[in-house]
Amino acid sequence: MENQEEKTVFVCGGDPDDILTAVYDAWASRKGHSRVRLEVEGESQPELFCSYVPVETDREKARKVAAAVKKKIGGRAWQMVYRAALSREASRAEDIYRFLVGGFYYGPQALDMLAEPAVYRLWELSRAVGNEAHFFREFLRFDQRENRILLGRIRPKNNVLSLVTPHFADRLPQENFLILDMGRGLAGVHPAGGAWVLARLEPQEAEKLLAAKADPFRELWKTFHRAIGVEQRKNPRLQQSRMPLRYREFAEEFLE
Amino acid sequence: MLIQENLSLGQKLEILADAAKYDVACTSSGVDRRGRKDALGSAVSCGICHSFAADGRCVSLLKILLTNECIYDCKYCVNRISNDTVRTSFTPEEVCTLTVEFYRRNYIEGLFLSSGILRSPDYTMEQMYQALWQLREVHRFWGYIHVKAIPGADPALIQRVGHLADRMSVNLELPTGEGLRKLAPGKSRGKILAPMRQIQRGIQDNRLRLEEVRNRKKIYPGRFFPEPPQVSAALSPAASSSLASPALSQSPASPVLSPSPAAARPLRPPASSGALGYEEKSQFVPAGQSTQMILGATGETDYQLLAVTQALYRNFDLKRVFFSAYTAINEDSALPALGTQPPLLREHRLYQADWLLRFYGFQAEELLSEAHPFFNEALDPKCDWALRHLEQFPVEVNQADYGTLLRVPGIGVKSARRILRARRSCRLDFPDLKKMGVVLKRAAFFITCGGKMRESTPLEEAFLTRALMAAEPKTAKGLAGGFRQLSLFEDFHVENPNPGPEDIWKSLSGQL
Repeated sequence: MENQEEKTVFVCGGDPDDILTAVYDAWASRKGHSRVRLEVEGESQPELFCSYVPVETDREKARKVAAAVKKKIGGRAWQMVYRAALSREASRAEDIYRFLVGGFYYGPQALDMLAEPAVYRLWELSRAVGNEAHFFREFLRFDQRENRILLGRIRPKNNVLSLVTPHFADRLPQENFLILDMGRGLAGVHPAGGAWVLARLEPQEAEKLLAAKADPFRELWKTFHRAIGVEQRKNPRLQQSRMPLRYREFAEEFLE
Repeated sequence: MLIQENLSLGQKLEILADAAKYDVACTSSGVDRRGRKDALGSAVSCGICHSFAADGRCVSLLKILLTNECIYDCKYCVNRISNDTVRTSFTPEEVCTLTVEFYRRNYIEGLFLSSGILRSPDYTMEQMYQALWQLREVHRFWGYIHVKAIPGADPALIQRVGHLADRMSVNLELPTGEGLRKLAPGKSRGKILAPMRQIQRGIQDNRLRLEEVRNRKKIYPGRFFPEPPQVSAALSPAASSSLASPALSQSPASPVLSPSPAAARPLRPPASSGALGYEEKSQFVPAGQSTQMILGATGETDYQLLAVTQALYRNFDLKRVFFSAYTAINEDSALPALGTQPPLLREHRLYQADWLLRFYGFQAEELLSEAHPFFNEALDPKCDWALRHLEQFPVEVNQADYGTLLRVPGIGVKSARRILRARRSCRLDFPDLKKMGVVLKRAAFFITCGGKMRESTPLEEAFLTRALMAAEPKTAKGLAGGFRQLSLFEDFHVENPNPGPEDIWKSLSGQL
């Protein structure tokens, strides 16, 4: 006989589609919200007294969940769920599920219930992801390679590439550019005049494709950056709190 | 004056960025403009910083002067005519190349073009117009442009430049007319305020026109209604009222629009098929105007500065007023001595107060007065205000309205909004507030949750001052002079060198 207390754990991949499929499967299993749990594969310790169910990603199921969130809780909630799914937190799949339990019950007003732990947690994840994406929109530097192709490199904690690339696609429609997530081996690719796509691409391969090239504007930028600071107001601590070191890895002005 | 002819682009950039660095405004905010397929760039209304300079200030725009030659001798300015520095100028083409190439690499959010006065205000403004026109129409630049309006330039020129830029600013420099006479002999209050007023009117015209379009849509829904001729005439720079201004017709001596290349071009450049037509289509200064005042070069009080700031927001609809702590760069008897440290903390307090004016519903007269003309440098202006108005506290977080919440130290615009939203569905307690971004180390003294304070602290000025200052040790360290260890003998006038416990108690309770 099945133990009443035993939990079923749905184990899924780490991308938004994987997580949303797991939400669909867990919900449709009708085992009861308190008896299911979602886990991202390889990011948690296995536990005793649980039965583990691997989730096979199905874009159709993911699309249905997304549509339901948009319709019943609203566009802003969908934006938050999507951002939370890009988070680096191991608990993100479970956090999204818990939010949706309340979200589908209360509807759009669920977003305001910040004192509710499930809502707060989702808000926290989504805010962290949104903030990091914004930092990389600010601090990303493009390096001009052969044929005027622009190469941007980032090493974000959260998987923000799909939030960063559209900003530049809108801004630089006539440029060929490539944004590399150095840690994940992902690339946002934008051909001039076309639509951008996400692709798997390891940094070494990218370097092979696009040879480094001398660029006079790199020096000019450093010159400008040096000249614009006021010596009498020098304040490295303030500079560092506003532009932490981890954003400077590829920022020309801080490299020798 | 040393004018160098054969400088490289890098050398020019070094000189002209260095000469522009004392201008504070570097924000790229105030306008949302999505990219377009056939142009370069976009604008985001929250503004984007791209780097931070060694002084911790943000680098958002390519902040340069078109030239550092100047006919004026403003005492505080690094580019004054009497300074013996290397002078140079960018060509419009160089400005465009730098902007576009930096922009493509995501170094910058746009261009901030200012200039020394070369020959005359009109001539300078025309050069700037040319650079911006080329950037917009030849290089199809769709990003952010902030440009200085040169006081004394012809209104017609300012009008045209305003249609190419997103933000314009005129520096007030000194808050009082007296200070201006003393330090900037070439400028006068009236000369500075005239373009400010013109830009304000231009922006108001935008709004009226927008409303007109909206009303027309209301009246004729579902029907495309083309611009009636009189409105489009007002839009076109050629027919704008300011162009017919007396300044233009009665100034044969001024070179406006006659010998210059800007004027040689027809007023509307021939529209090639793919032209952006930026100047014709864009609103006038859509991101609003700003200004800046120098702080600490003359003897103005914080109260005077803040009152002027408030008047500028009210009467000139400014978006921002910036403060620039005076950096001693010139030797002059009318100025603070070389080597004087810029009053950074004072600048910081003024910015905090500026925020209170713009977003927190405060008025200058509440924060300061003739009798109390300077900010307490040890406390932020809001804490300072709260300490003087303890009768309005504590505030019950679960009931207070938005305006009241905003006046609580430690609660900001974002956290106040979050509180309003969250308390609809439940009663809030202190841990909830912390999650919403309320700074409890300040707020806890001034609020109750469900009728209870976090700790039973007295609402008493001396106690709170100490508690709040202890919560901000960093600022305390940065204070001029700093704090020193209290000494029983000096501070409490204890005469007895070997005080007993009784004496100490007396001294602390103020009975000695």
